[in-house]
Amino acid sequence: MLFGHRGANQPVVDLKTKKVYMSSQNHSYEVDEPSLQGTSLQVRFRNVNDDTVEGLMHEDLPIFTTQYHPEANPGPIESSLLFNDFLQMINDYSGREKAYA
Amino acid sequence: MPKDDTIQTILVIGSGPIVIGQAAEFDYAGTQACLALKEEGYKVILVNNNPATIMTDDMNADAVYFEPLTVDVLEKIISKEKPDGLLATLGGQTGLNLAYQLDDAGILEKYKVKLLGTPIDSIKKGEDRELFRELMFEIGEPVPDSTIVHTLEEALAFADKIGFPIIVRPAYTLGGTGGGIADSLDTFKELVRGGLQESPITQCLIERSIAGYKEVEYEVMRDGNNTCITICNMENIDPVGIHTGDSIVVAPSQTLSDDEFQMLRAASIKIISALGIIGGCNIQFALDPNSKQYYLIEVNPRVSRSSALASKATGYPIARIAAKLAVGYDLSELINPVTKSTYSSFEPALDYVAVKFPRWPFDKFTTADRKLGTQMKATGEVMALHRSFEGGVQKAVDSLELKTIGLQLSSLKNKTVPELWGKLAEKSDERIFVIFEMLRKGVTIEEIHEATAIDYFFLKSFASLIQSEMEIEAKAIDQVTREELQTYKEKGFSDRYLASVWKVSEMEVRAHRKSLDITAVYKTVDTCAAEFESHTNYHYSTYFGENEQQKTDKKKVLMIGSGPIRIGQGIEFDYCSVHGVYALQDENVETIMINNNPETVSTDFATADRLYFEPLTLEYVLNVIEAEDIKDVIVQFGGQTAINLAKGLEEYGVNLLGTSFDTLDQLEDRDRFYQLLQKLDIPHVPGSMANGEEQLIAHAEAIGYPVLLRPSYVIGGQGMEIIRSKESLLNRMANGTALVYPVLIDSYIPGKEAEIDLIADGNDVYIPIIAEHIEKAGVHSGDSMALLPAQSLTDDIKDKNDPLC
Repeated sequence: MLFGHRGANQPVVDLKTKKVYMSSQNHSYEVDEPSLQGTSLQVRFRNVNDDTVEGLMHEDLPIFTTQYHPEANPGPIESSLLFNDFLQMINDYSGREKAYA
Repeated sequence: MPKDDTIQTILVIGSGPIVIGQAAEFDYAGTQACLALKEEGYKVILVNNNPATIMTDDMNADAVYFEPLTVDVLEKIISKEKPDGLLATLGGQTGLNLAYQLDDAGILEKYKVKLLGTPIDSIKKGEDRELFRELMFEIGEPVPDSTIVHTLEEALAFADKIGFPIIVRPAYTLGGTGGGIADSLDTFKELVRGGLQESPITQCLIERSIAGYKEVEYEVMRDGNNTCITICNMENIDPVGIHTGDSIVVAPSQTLSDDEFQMLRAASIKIISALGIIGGCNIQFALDPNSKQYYLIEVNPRVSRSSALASKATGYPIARIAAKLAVGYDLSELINPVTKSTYSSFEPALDYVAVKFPRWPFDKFTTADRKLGTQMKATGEVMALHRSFEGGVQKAVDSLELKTIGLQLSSLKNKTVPELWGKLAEKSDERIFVIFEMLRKGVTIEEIHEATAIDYFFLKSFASLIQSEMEIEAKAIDQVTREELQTYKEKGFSDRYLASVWKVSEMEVRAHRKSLDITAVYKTVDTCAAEFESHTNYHYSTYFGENEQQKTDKKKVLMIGSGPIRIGQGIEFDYCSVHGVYALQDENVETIMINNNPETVSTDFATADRLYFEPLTLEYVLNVIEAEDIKDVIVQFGGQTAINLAKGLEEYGVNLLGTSFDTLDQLEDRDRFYQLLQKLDIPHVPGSMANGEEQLIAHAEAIGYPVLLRPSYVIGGQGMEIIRSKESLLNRMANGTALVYPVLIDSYIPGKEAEIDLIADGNDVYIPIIAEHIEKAGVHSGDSMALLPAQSLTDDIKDKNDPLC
């Protein structure tokens, strides 16, 4: 990327929910979208300003990624919901009853 | 979602006449909204009865109704124009209340008018204290202990329970009208009685006072897809207790940690989502400086005064975007009009600070109660942009046009420390100058913090400015090094201040500064701190870093604005300067605007080709003239503010377009004016000028009582007095504020008063209309009711007037 994405005011759209929210970003590289062809990965997050890929999800496996900082320290905390998704995934895919239940 | 195609015609409600708490900002918001709707191809019907506004020009709407803003009248307009949409969230409290009443009366349903943007339910939840509190309990957002009362008895029962101090806030009023803080039972009773009367639904919120907390506001926007963004946050230098319209405000906040900032930001987003607002909204918080405890103070479910400030402070056009959200767009579908390459769903980044300083009317109303509280008293405000908070404060003070030199208010100069403590306790509009004076006289910031609860960050900045003042005083102009002078300029000290300390002329300081190669540089307001390429021509000066402004070699004209709104100098001058700009643009002349009032259309960066947000003092204006290489300046549209600059500009070799300084002076200087009238053989009120007390008495005798006394060069009759006898003249000279000589003395004739407005090109004169005053002469023309065209003047009198012009 020319300058990369910097700052706590980067708009991201979650293609799964169609929601737009602010995120904290600090990266100089992006995923080259054509390189996803033939993989089971789909684009889940995009930067609204330049349409670049900000995160992926797997078609079958419990995997999703972000290029930005959902932990947001410093930054806006809207994407903290992703941690709930992540914990939900762990529960859904653990393949066994809760160990400590 | 794309725009709503089921709608063709939209009714927009304006905010009516200017009142304290609802001023030019709604002209700015309304104009932006009308233009945004027209841009989308809608037919715009506008109702507003304020002639001094730009929004009521026929270019901004397809039909303009100058009618009273009442439900009956609006119903008639609705039945005639048959709009399918109503936009009411941009007309201030007036527009909002009318939308509410139209809905209540079933008129919107009857004529099938869709309320655009924020739904009625959201408006109710935001405005009705009780509904709002219920909603906040539901979503777990903290509000101070409080209760809603409809009678004095209910209020007294609550006061018994929680004790004083208590804040009284009447429901559905403007700028906190009728509200206040009560420390005792007596004031409490008085406030509740008044508040119930002021509130259109006889309802008051009374709540535990959280005075001393930090007051922080967030400007939030939300679209129909629940995308929420905060345009900026703003911190009041004065802690909770003084109305935000009367507070000195800085954007972005200066004393919050990221945690605190994000906590309040997340709360703002939660609240705007829960309310279901579509468009802009302003949310005010009180934050405990010693913990993370916060309380919600207030939500304005509409574009507000703070929105205008936030738009100018960030470059993000809130009203314009809000209008587009109202017709169905999402933020991520709208291009950011500043960068033209990114989208509106982002949060502006500021690489500077904006300082807002209110302008109060107490120079005109010298006997008014100057104590500030929860009820707004300021008539206008200025904004200053700078790289540092210190520089911002200095520029803001320079923009106010008060009797200050640098940060010193001349009336406080000779006050002792105990006197200053007394003044500080009054919590008046002068308190910031009182703090400066106390720091000068050795009071520590700890003591001031103890008394005012103003954050140490701000007090330390003030102290550092006073420290610099002392360093400057210890120097002389020929001793100061380049580095030192550079530092003083970075901290915002004006040439005029330096000149007064070093006992030289302002022009000598200017010349010396330029000989050391210290000149202002211009930075750009671009919403994104230079992350993206931007297309704004919105600048402010500073002395840090490199110059971002590019000059053109087109034919250009500088238009000087009129500064903050005050009594006698309202938005009519904004109307004039904006129209001046449009007319020049039609002639293909590049227009450059300089002004410092964040509420106005003239400081919308979309108005002139380039905008400079600067104090209207000779130094700042000349700096822009030199940086832009400007030859021609127009001062006649900027009110007395711009006229006062005319002499200095002409002396510096700037060409004043239109009327020259000599002509202006001939009219403003009574002596010269009367000479002119005598030469032209036009009768005038007998009058003369007095340079001292003895002369004053003698001349008054010669003219004969009653007489009218006034100083030269003032706005709106400031300091004008009618004296009816020698005794009252002597009495006047012995008491009250000192008379400033020369004083003009006119014979006071209580006759009919008429005015003629005319336009002349040097040869021909055109008179559009004659206005006749209903009151007799002696009531200021700005305060008297007038009829246009004149009703009782005979044709003979009118004809007599014509050749006089």
